[in-house]
Amino acid sequence: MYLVRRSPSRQRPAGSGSGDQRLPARTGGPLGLPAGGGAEAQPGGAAVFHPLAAPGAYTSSSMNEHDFERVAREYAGRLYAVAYRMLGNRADAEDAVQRALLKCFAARASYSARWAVSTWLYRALTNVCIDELRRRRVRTVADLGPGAGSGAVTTPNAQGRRRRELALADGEAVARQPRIERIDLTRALDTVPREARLLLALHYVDGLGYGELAKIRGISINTVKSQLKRGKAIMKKALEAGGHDGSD
Amino acid sequence: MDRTDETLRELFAVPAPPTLAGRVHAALRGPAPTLEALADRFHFEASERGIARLAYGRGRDAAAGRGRRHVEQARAELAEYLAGRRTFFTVPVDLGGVAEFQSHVLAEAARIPFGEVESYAALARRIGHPRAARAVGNALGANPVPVLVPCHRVIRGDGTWGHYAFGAALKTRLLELERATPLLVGCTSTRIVCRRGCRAEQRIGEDRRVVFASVADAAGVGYRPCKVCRPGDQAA
Repeated sequence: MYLVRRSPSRQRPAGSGSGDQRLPARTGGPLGLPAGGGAEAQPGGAAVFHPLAAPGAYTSSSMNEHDFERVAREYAGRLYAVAYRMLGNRADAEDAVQRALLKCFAARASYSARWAVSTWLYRALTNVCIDELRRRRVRTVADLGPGAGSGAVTTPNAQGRRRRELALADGEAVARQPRIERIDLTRALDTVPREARLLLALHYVDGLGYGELAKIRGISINTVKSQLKRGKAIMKKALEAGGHDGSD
Repeated sequence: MDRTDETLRELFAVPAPPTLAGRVHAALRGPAPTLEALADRFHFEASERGIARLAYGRGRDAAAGRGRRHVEQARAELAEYLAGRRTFFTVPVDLGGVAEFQSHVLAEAARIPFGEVESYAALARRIGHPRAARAVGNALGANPVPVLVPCHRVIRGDGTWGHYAFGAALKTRLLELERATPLLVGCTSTRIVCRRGCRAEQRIGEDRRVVFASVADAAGVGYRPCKVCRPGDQAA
Protein backbone atom coordinates (compact mmCIF):
# COMPACT_ATOMS: atom_id res chain seq x y z
CA MET A 1 0.00 0.00 0.00
CA TYR A 2 2.37 2.64 1.20
CA LEU A 3 5.77 2.81 -0.32
CA VAL A 4 7.32 5.42 1.87
CA ARG A 5 10.67 4.33 3.14
CA ARG A 6 13.36 6.26 4.87
CA SER A 7 16.71 6.46 3.22
CA PRO A 8 18.79 3.34 3.85
CA SER A 9 21.13 5.21 6.15
CA ARG A 10 18.34 5.48 8.72
CA GLN A 11 17.64 1.79 8.71
CA ARG A 12 19.57 -0.50 10.94
CA PRO A 13 19.68 -4.25 10.93
CA ALA A 14 17.29 -5.69 13.48
CA GLY A 15 17.86 -8.47 15.91
CA SER A 16 21.63 -8.33 15.86
CA GLY A 17 23.52 -8.07 19.10
CA SER A 18 25.24 -4.90 18.04
CA GLY A 19 21.87 -3.22 17.68
CA ASP A 20 20.99 -3.97 21.26
CA GLN A 21 24.17 -2.68 22.75
CA ARG A 22 23.51 0.75 21.45
CA LEU A 23 20.34 1.05 23.48
CA PRO A 24 20.39 3.22 26.52
CA ALA A 25 18.96 0.97 29.17
CA ARG A 26 16.20 2.27 31.35
CA THR A 27 15.76 0.67 34.69
CA GLY A 28 12.50 0.25 36.52
CA GLY A 29 9.87 0.73 33.87
CA PRO A 30 6.28 1.17 34.99
CA LEU A 31 5.67 -2.54 34.95
CA GLY A 32 8.99 -4.17 34.53
CA LEU A 33 9.34 -7.06 32.20
CA PRO A 34 6.42 -9.39 31.79
CA ALA A 35 6.91 -12.93 32.96
CA GLY A 36 9.53 -14.76 31.01
CA GLY A 37 10.93 -11.63 29.42
CA GLY A 38 13.95 -11.67 31.65
CA ALA A 39 15.39 -14.57 29.71
CA GLU A 40 16.36 -12.17 26.98
CA ALA A 41 17.60 -9.41 29.22
CA GLN A 42 20.28 -7.18 27.88
CA PRO A 43 23.81 -7.15 29.29
CA GLY A 44 22.75 -4.45 31.71
CA GLY A 45 20.79 -6.94 33.81
CA ALA A 46 17.06 -6.40 34.30
CA ALA A 47 17.10 -3.28 32.18
CA VAL A 48 13.95 -2.39 30.34
CA PHE A 49 14.31 -1.21 26.82
CA HIS A 50 12.58 2.04 26.12
CA PRO A 51 11.43 2.58 22.58
CA LEU A 52 11.43 6.35 22.68
CA ALA A 53 14.95 6.51 23.93
CA ALA A 54 16.20 4.75 20.84
CA PRO A 55 13.81 4.96 17.92
CA GLY A 56 16.23 3.11 15.69
CA ALA A 57 16.42 0.06 17.90
CA TYR A 58 14.09 -2.41 16.29
CA THR A 59 13.82 -0.71 12.98
CA SER A 60 14.33 -2.44 9.72
CA SER A 61 12.29 -2.53 6.58
CA SER A 62 10.24 -5.31 8.10
CA MET A 63 10.35 -7.55 11.12
CA ASN A 64 11.15 -11.22 11.26
CA GLU A 65 9.43 -13.74 13.47
CA HIS A 66 12.11 -13.81 16.08
CA ASP A 67 12.17 -10.05 16.50
CA PHE A 68 8.45 -9.96 16.73
CA GLU A 69 8.35 -12.53 19.49
CA ARG A 70 10.84 -10.57 21.50
CA VAL A 71 8.88 -7.37 21.03
CA ALA A 72 5.63 -9.12 21.94
CA ARG A 73 7.08 -10.48 25.14
CA GLU A 74 8.47 -7.16 26.08
CA TYR A 75 5.30 -5.19 25.52
CA ALA A 76 2.69 -7.72 26.58
CA GLY A 77 2.59 -6.42 30.15
CA ARG A 78 2.19 -2.78 29.23
CA LEU A 79 -0.33 -3.55 26.51
CA TYR A 80 -2.29 -5.53 29.05
CA ALA A 81 -2.29 -2.65 31.53
CA VAL A 82 -3.69 -0.27 28.93
CA ALA A 83 -6.30 -2.79 27.81
CA TYR A 84 -7.31 -3.57 31.37
CA ARG A 85 -7.99 0.06 32.16
CA MET A 86 -9.90 0.52 28.92
CA LEU A 87 -12.04 -2.59 29.07
CA GLY A 88 -12.30 -3.05 32.81
CA ASN A 89 -11.83 -6.78 33.12
CA ARG A 90 -9.16 -9.36 32.79
CA ALA A 91 -10.63 -11.65 30.18
CA ASP A 92 -11.42 -8.91 27.68
CA ALA A 93 -8.05 -7.28 28.27
CA GLU A 94 -6.16 -10.48 27.57
CA ASP A 95 -8.28 -11.09 24.53
CA ALA A 96 -7.54 -7.60 23.25
CA VAL A 97 -3.79 -7.94 23.76
CA GLN A 98 -3.79 -11.24 21.99
CA ARG A 99 -5.81 -9.96 19.07
CA ALA A 100 -3.69 -6.85 18.70
CA LEU A 101 -0.48 -8.85 18.71
CA LEU A 102 -1.89 -11.32 16.21
CA LYS A 103 -2.81 -8.45 13.92
CA CYS A 104 0.66 -7.00 14.17
CA PHE A 105 2.17 -10.41 13.64
CA ALA A 106 0.19 -10.89 10.46
CA ALA A 107 1.29 -7.44 9.28
CA ARG A 108 4.88 -7.67 10.46
CA ALA A 109 6.15 -7.69 6.89
CA SER A 110 4.68 -4.27 6.33
CA TYR A 111 6.15 -2.83 9.50
CA SER A 112 7.99 0.27 8.46
CA ALA A 113 11.08 1.85 9.88
CA ARG A 114 9.28 5.14 10.18
CA TRP A 115 7.41 3.79 13.16
CA ALA A 116 8.56 3.31 16.67
CA VAL A 117 7.62 -0.23 17.64
CA SER A 118 5.64 1.07 20.57
CA THR A 119 3.56 3.34 18.34
CA TRP A 120 2.79 0.47 16.04
CA LEU A 121 1.77 -1.92 18.82
CA TYR A 122 -0.19 0.64 20.79
CA ARG A 123 -2.11 1.71 17.75
CA ALA A 124 -3.11 -1.87 17.02
CA LEU A 125 -4.12 -2.32 20.63
CA THR A 126 -6.12 0.88 20.85
CA ASN A 127 -7.91 0.00 17.63
CA VAL A 128 -8.96 -3.33 19.11
CA CYS A 129 -10.00 -1.82 22.44
CA ILE A 130 -11.97 1.01 20.91
CA ASP A 131 -13.86 -1.34 18.65
CA GLU A 132 -14.67 -3.56 21.59
CA LEU A 133 -16.06 -0.55 23.45
CA ARG A 134 -18.09 0.46 20.42
CA ARG A 135 -19.70 -2.94 20.42
CA ARG A 136 -20.57 -2.74 24.11
CA ARG A 137 -22.18 0.65 23.79
CA VAL A 138 -24.43 -0.47 20.96
CA ARG A 139 -25.33 -3.59 22.91
CA THR A 140 -26.48 -1.72 25.98
CA VAL A 141 -28.52 0.68 23.90
CA ALA A 142 -30.17 -2.23 22.13
CA ASP A 143 -30.84 -3.92 25.47
CA LEU A 144 -32.61 -0.91 26.88
CA GLY A 145 -34.17 0.27 23.64
CA PRO A 146 -36.94 -1.88 22.22
CA GLY A 147 -38.54 -3.64 25.15
CA ALA A 148 -37.95 -1.16 27.94
CA GLY A 149 -41.24 -1.99 29.63
CA SER A 150 -41.51 -5.67 28.81
CA GLY A 151 -38.87 -8.34 28.87
CA ALA A 152 -35.61 -6.70 27.85
CA VAL A 153 -34.01 -7.76 31.09
CA THR A 154 -35.37 -11.28 30.95
CA THR A 155 -33.89 -11.99 27.53
CA PRO A 156 -30.19 -11.83 28.20
CA ASN A 157 -27.93 -12.66 25.33
CA ALA A 158 -24.74 -14.64 25.49
CA GLN A 159 -22.53 -11.59 25.49
CA GLY A 160 -24.39 -9.87 28.25
CA ARG A 161 -24.28 -12.91 30.45
CA ARG A 162 -20.64 -13.45 29.79
CA ARG A 163 -19.88 -9.88 30.73
CA ARG A 164 -21.77 -10.22 34.00
CA GLU A 165 -19.87 -13.39 34.85
CA LEU A 166 -16.62 -11.66 34.08
CA ALA A 167 -17.64 -8.74 36.24
CA LEU A 168 -18.19 -11.17 39.11
CA ALA A 169 -14.84 -12.81 38.56
CA ASP A 170 -13.30 -9.38 38.55
CA GLY A 171 -14.77 -8.60 41.92
CA GLU A 172 -11.98 -10.65 43.44
CA ALA A 173 -9.30 -8.64 41.74
CA VAL A 174 -10.80 -5.39 42.97
CA ALA A 175 -11.19 -6.73 46.48
CA ARG A 176 -7.50 -7.55 46.61
CA GLN A 177 -6.64 -3.91 46.12
CA PRO A 178 -6.49 -2.45 49.58
CA ARG A 179 -7.91 1.00 49.32
CA ILE A 180 -11.48 2.08 48.76
CA GLU A 181 -10.14 5.08 46.92
CA ARG A 182 -9.05 2.85 44.09
CA ILE A 183 -12.53 1.54 43.48
CA ASP A 184 -13.84 5.10 43.37
CA LEU A 185 -11.14 5.99 40.90
CA THR A 186 -11.96 3.03 38.71
CA ARG A 187 -15.55 4.14 38.70
CA ALA A 188 -14.54 7.70 37.91
CA LEU A 189 -12.43 6.42 35.04
CA ASP A 190 -15.54 4.89 33.52
CA THR A 191 -17.08 8.34 33.26
CA VAL A 192 -14.14 9.73 31.30
CA PRO A 193 -14.98 9.86 27.57
CA ARG A 194 -13.48 7.02 25.57
CA GLU A 195 -10.89 8.95 23.61
CA ALA A 196 -9.67 10.80 26.68
CA ARG A 197 -9.56 7.59 28.73
CA LEU A 198 -7.46 5.93 26.11
CA LEU A 199 -4.98 8.78 26.09
CA LEU A 200 -4.86 8.78 29.89
CA ALA A 201 -4.11 5.07 29.93
CA LEU A 202 -1.35 5.34 27.36
CA HIS A 203 0.08 8.38 29.07
CA TYR A 204 0.23 6.87 32.52
CA VAL A 205 1.06 3.27 31.74
CA ASP A 206 4.04 3.86 29.54
CA GLY A 207 4.70 7.54 30.09
CA LEU A 208 4.16 8.27 26.42
CA GLY A 209 4.55 11.88 25.39
CA TYR A 210 2.11 14.08 23.49
CA GLY A 211 3.87 13.52 20.21
CA GLU A 212 3.63 9.77 20.31
CA LEU A 213 0.05 9.84 21.59
CA ALA A 214 -0.83 12.04 18.65
CA LYS A 215 0.77 9.56 16.27
CA ILE A 216 -0.93 6.57 17.84
CA ARG A 217 -4.40 8.06 17.57
CA GLY A 218 -3.81 10.08 14.42
CA ILE A 219 -4.84 13.36 16.02
CA SER A 220 -3.11 16.66 16.53
CA ILE A 221 -0.91 17.33 19.53
CA ASN A 222 -3.24 20.07 20.66
CA THR A 223 -6.15 17.66 20.66
CA VAL A 224 -4.07 15.26 22.72
CA LYS A 225 -3.38 18.00 25.23
CA SER A 226 -6.98 19.12 25.52
CA GLN A 227 -8.30 15.56 25.80
CA LEU A 228 -5.75 14.64 28.44
CA LYS A 229 -6.55 17.75 30.39
CA ARG A 230 -10.23 16.98 30.27
CA GLY A 231 -9.69 13.42 31.46
CA LYS A 232 -7.35 14.50 34.18
CA ALA A 233 -9.79 17.10 35.42
CA ILE A 234 -12.49 14.46 35.83
CA MET A 235 -10.13 12.16 37.68
CA LYS A 236 -8.87 14.96 39.89
CA LYS A 237 -12.39 15.88 40.86
CA ALA A 238 -13.14 12.26 41.76
CA LEU A 239 -9.90 12.03 43.69
CA GLU A 240 -10.71 15.09 45.75
CA ALA A 241 -14.26 13.95 46.40
CA GLY A 242 -13.04 10.45 47.29
CA GLY A 243 -10.41 11.85 49.64
CA HIS A 244 -13.10 13.55 51.68
CA ASP A 245 -15.51 10.71 52.27
CA GLY A 246 -13.04 7.88 51.80
CA SER A 247 -10.04 8.39 54.05
CA ASP A 248 -11.42 11.03 56.41
CA MET B 1 4.41 16.07 39.31
CA ASP B 2 1.38 16.59 41.49
CA ARG B 3 -0.61 14.13 43.51
CA THR B 4 -3.14 13.42 40.77
CA ASP B 5 -0.37 12.34 38.46
CA GLU B 6 1.10 10.03 41.04
CA THR B 7 -2.21 8.46 41.93
CA LEU B 8 -3.09 7.97 38.31
CA ARG B 9 0.25 6.39 37.54
CA GLU B 10 -0.33 4.02 40.40
CA LEU B 11 -3.87 3.30 39.24
CA PHE B 12 -2.69 2.44 35.76
CA ALA B 13 0.08 0.13 36.90
CA VAL B 14 -1.85 -3.09 36.48
CA PRO B 15 0.29 -6.20 36.81
CA ALA B 16 -0.14 -8.54 33.89
CA PRO B 17 -1.18 -12.09 34.68
CA PRO B 18 1.92 -14.29 34.65
CA THR B 19 0.50 -16.67 32.07
CA LEU B 20 -0.19 -13.96 29.51
CA ALA B 21 3.16 -14.10 27.74
CA GLY B 22 2.90 -17.84 27.29
CA ARG B 23 -0.59 -17.66 25.90
CA VAL B 24 0.30 -14.91 23.47
CA HIS B 25 3.25 -16.98 22.39
CA ALA B 26 1.02 -19.98 21.78
CA ALA B 27 -1.49 -17.89 19.83
CA LEU B 28 1.25 -16.54 17.58
CA ARG B 29 2.32 -20.08 16.78
CA GLY B 30 -1.21 -21.27 16.00
CA PRO B 31 -2.58 -20.99 12.48
CA ALA B 32 -4.70 -17.95 11.82
CA PRO B 33 -8.21 -19.12 10.94
CA THR B 34 -9.60 -17.78 7.74
CA LEU B 35 -13.01 -17.73 6.16
CA GLU B 36 -11.88 -16.30 2.88
CA ALA B 37 -11.64 -19.68 1.22
CA LEU B 38 -15.40 -20.05 1.55
CA ALA B 39 -16.09 -17.16 -0.77
CA ASP B 40 -15.77 -19.28 -3.91
CA ARG B 41 -18.26 -21.83 -2.68
CA PHE B 42 -21.27 -19.56 -2.83
CA HIS B 43 -23.42 -19.13 -5.89
CA PHE B 44 -26.15 -16.66 -6.65
CA GLU B 45 -29.41 -16.21 -8.49
CA ALA B 46 -30.22 -12.71 -9.47
CA SER B 47 -32.99 -10.84 -11.20
CA GLU B 48 -32.83 -7.40 -12.75
CA ARG B 49 -33.64 -5.88 -9.40
CA GLY B 50 -31.07 -7.64 -7.28
CA ILE B 51 -29.87 -10.87 -5.71
CA ALA B 52 -32.79 -13.23 -5.26
CA ARG B 53 -31.02 -16.28 -3.87
CA LEU B 54 -27.71 -17.24 -2.35
CA ALA B 55 -26.73 -20.87 -1.93
CA TYR B 56 -23.73 -22.72 -0.65
CA GLY B 57 -22.03 -25.71 -2.21
CA ARG B 58 -22.44 -27.07 -5.71
CA GLY B 59 -24.46 -25.18 -8.23
CA ARG B 60 -24.19 -22.42 -10.76
CA ASP B 61 -25.00 -18.77 -10.90
CA ALA B 62 -28.31 -18.01 -12.55
CA ALA B 63 -28.63 -14.51 -13.85
CA ALA B 64 -29.24 -12.65 -17.05
CA GLY B 65 -28.74 -9.12 -18.20
CA ARG B 66 -28.29 -6.71 -15.35
CA GLY B 67 -28.57 -9.55 -12.90
CA ARG B 68 -25.13 -10.66 -13.92
CA ARG B 69 -23.67 -7.42 -12.72
CA HIS B 70 -25.41 -7.88 -9.38
CA VAL B 71 -23.89 -11.33 -9.07
CA GLU B 72 -20.41 -10.02 -9.73
CA GLN B 73 -20.86 -7.29 -7.18
CA ALA B 74 -22.31 -9.68 -4.60
CA ARG B 75 -19.43 -12.11 -5.02
CA ALA B 76 -16.84 -9.38 -4.58
CA GLU B 77 -18.58 -7.94 -1.53
CA LEU B 78 -19.04 -11.34 0.01
CA ALA B 79 -15.36 -12.13 -0.41
CA GLU B 80 -14.44 -8.85 1.26
CA TYR B 81 -16.88 -9.51 4.04
CA LEU B 82 -15.44 -12.96 4.71
CA ALA B 83 -11.95 -11.50 4.70
CA GLY B 84 -12.96 -8.99 7.38
CA ARG B 85 -12.72 -6.02 5.06
CA ARG B 86 -16.39 -5.14 4.78
CA THR B 87 -19.13 -4.50 7.31
CA PHE B 88 -22.09 -3.79 5.05
CA PHE B 89 -23.46 -4.83 1.67
CA THR B 90 -24.48 -2.42 -1.05
CA VAL B 91 -25.65 -4.99 -3.58
CA PRO B 92 -29.45 -4.80 -3.99
CA VAL B 93 -31.51 -7.73 -2.75
CA ASP B 94 -34.68 -8.79 -4.56
CA LEU B 95 -37.27 -10.13 -2.15
CA GLY B 96 -40.03 -10.12 -4.76
CA GLY B 97 -40.91 -13.78 -4.47
CA VAL B 98 -41.15 -13.79 -0.69
CA ALA B 99 -44.37 -13.77 1.33
CA GLU B 100 -45.35 -10.61 3.15
CA PHE B 101 -44.67 -11.73 6.72
CA GLN B 102 -41.32 -13.19 5.79
CA SER B 103 -40.18 -10.13 3.90
CA HIS B 104 -41.19 -8.09 6.92
CA VAL B 105 -39.03 -10.26 9.15
CA LEU B 106 -36.11 -10.17 6.73
CA ALA B 107 -36.30 -6.40 6.39
CA GLU B 108 -36.19 -6.06 10.15
CA ALA B 109 -33.35 -8.56 10.49
CA ALA B 110 -31.37 -6.56 7.96
CA ARG B 111 -31.41 -3.65 10.39
CA ILE B 112 -29.48 -5.48 13.10
CA PRO B 113 -26.12 -3.74 13.08
CA PHE B 114 -22.92 -5.51 12.12
CA GLY B 115 -21.37 -7.28 15.06
CA GLU B 116 -24.59 -7.33 17.09
CA VAL B 117 -27.00 -10.12 17.90
CA GLU B 118 -30.68 -10.15 18.70
CA SER B 119 -33.06 -12.81 19.95
CA TYR B 120 -35.89 -14.28 17.91
CA ALA B 121 -38.35 -12.95 20.50
CA ALA B 122 -36.97 -9.42 20.34
CA LEU B 123 -37.23 -9.47 16.57
CA ALA B 124 -40.82 -10.70 16.85
CA ARG B 125 -41.60 -7.79 19.16
CA ARG B 126 -40.06 -5.33 16.76
CA ILE B 127 -42.26 -6.39 13.87
CA GLY B 128 -45.31 -6.08 16.09
CA HIS B 129 -46.03 -9.79 16.64
CA PRO B 130 -44.65 -10.40 20.13
CA ARG B 131 -45.86 -14.01 20.26
CA ALA B 132 -44.52 -15.00 16.87
CA ALA B 133 -40.95 -15.84 17.84
CA ARG B 134 -41.20 -19.29 16.26
CA ALA B 135 -42.71 -17.92 13.10
CA VAL B 136 -39.84 -15.47 12.96
CA GLY B 137 -37.46 -18.38 13.31
CA ASN B 138 -39.10 -20.19 10.42
CA ALA B 139 -39.10 -17.07 8.28
CA LEU B 140 -35.40 -16.59 8.91
CA GLY B 141 -34.71 -20.26 8.36
CA ALA B 142 -36.15 -19.89 4.87
CA ASN B 143 -34.09 -16.79 4.20
CA PRO B 144 -33.27 -16.92 0.48
CA VAL B 145 -30.27 -14.63 0.84
CA PRO B 146 -28.39 -15.58 4.01
CA VAL B 147 -25.38 -13.43 4.97
CA LEU B 148 -26.63 -10.57 2.76
CA VAL B 149 -29.67 -10.44 5.02
CA PRO B 150 -27.91 -11.25 8.27
CA CYS B 151 -30.08 -13.96 9.76
CA HIS B 152 -26.96 -15.27 11.53
CA ARG B 153 -27.23 -12.28 13.87
CA VAL B 154 -30.44 -13.65 15.32
CA ILE B 155 -29.90 -16.10 18.16
CA ARG B 156 -32.06 -17.74 20.77
CA GLY B 157 -33.23 -15.84 23.81
CA ASP B 158 -31.23 -17.99 26.21
CA GLY B 159 -28.01 -17.09 24.43
CA THR B 160 -27.51 -20.32 22.51
CA TRP B 161 -27.05 -20.08 18.78
CA GLY B 162 -30.10 -21.85 17.45
CA HIS B 163 -30.14 -23.19 13.90
CA TYR B 164 -28.47 -21.85 10.85
CA ALA B 165 -28.96 -22.77 7.23
CA PHE B 166 -25.23 -23.34 6.73
CA GLY B 167 -24.72 -25.06 10.07
CA ALA B 168 -24.02 -23.87 13.58
CA ALA B 169 -20.27 -23.91 13.02
CA LEU B 170 -20.50 -21.33 10.27
CA LYS B 171 -22.85 -19.20 12.36
CA THR B 172 -20.23 -19.17 15.11
CA ARG B 173 -17.48 -18.26 12.71
CA LEU B 174 -19.48 -15.48 11.12
CA LEU B 175 -20.29 -13.99 14.53
CA GLU B 176 -16.65 -14.31 15.56
CA LEU B 177 -15.59 -12.64 12.36
CA GLU B 178 -17.95 -9.75 12.99
CA ARG B 179 -16.65 -9.49 16.51
CA ALA B 180 -13.10 -9.13 15.27
CA THR B 181 -13.82 -6.66 12.47
CA PRO B 182 -13.75 -2.96 13.31
CA LEU B 183 -16.70 -0.95 12.08
CA LEU B 184 -15.47 2.63 11.88
CA VAL B 185 -12.07 3.34 10.43
CA GLY B 186 -10.48 6.76 10.27
CA CYS B 187 -7.62 7.92 8.09
CA THR B 188 -4.97 9.85 9.98
CA SER B 189 -3.99 11.99 7.02
CA THR B 190 -7.39 12.99 5.65
CA ARG B 191 -9.11 13.00 9.06
CA ILE B 192 -12.14 11.31 7.61
CA VAL B 193 -13.94 8.43 9.27
CA CYS B 194 -15.53 5.72 7.11
CA ARG B 195 -17.44 2.52 7.56
CA ARG B 196 -15.27 -0.48 6.88
CA GLY B 197 -15.83 -1.55 3.30
CA CYS B 198 -16.39 1.93 1.89
CA ARG B 199 -14.36 2.43 -1.27
CA ALA B 200 -12.60 5.38 0.33
CA GLU B 201 -11.80 3.25 3.38
CA GLN B 202 -10.26 0.52 1.25
CA ARG B 203 -7.67 2.93 -0.01
CA ILE B 204 -6.41 3.87 3.45
CA GLY B 205 -2.89 2.60 4.02
CA GLU B 206 -2.24 0.11 6.78
CA ASP B 207 -0.20 2.63 8.73
CA ARG B 208 -2.85 5.34 8.60
CA ARG B 209 -5.78 3.47 10.07
CA VAL B 210 -7.33 4.28 13.40
CA VAL B 211 -10.53 2.79 14.74
CA PHE B 212 -13.29 4.80 16.37
CA ALA B 213 -16.10 3.70 18.60
CA SER B 214 -18.61 6.20 17.33
CA VAL B 215 -18.91 9.06 14.89
CA ALA B 216 -19.29 11.40 17.85
CA ASP B 217 -15.99 10.23 19.33
CA ALA B 218 -14.30 10.74 16.00
CA ALA B 219 -15.80 14.21 15.67
CA GLY B 220 -14.57 15.00 19.17
CA VAL B 221 -10.98 14.58 18.08
CA GLY B 222 -11.38 16.29 14.73
CA TYR B 223 -12.51 13.60 12.25
CA ARG B 224 -15.45 14.17 9.92
CA PRO B 225 -17.73 11.42 8.59
CA CYS B 226 -17.22 10.21 5.04
CA LYS B 227 -19.68 11.52 2.47
CA VAL B 228 -19.71 8.30 0.48
CA CYS B 229 -20.60 5.70 3.12
CA ARG B 230 -22.16 8.13 5.61
CA PRO B 231 -21.24 6.48 8.90
CA GLY B 232 -23.74 7.25 11.63
CA ASP B 233 -26.71 7.64 9.29
CA GLN B 234 -27.54 3.96 9.16
CA ALA B 235 -27.20 3.37 12.88
CA ALA B 236 -30.87 4.08 13.56
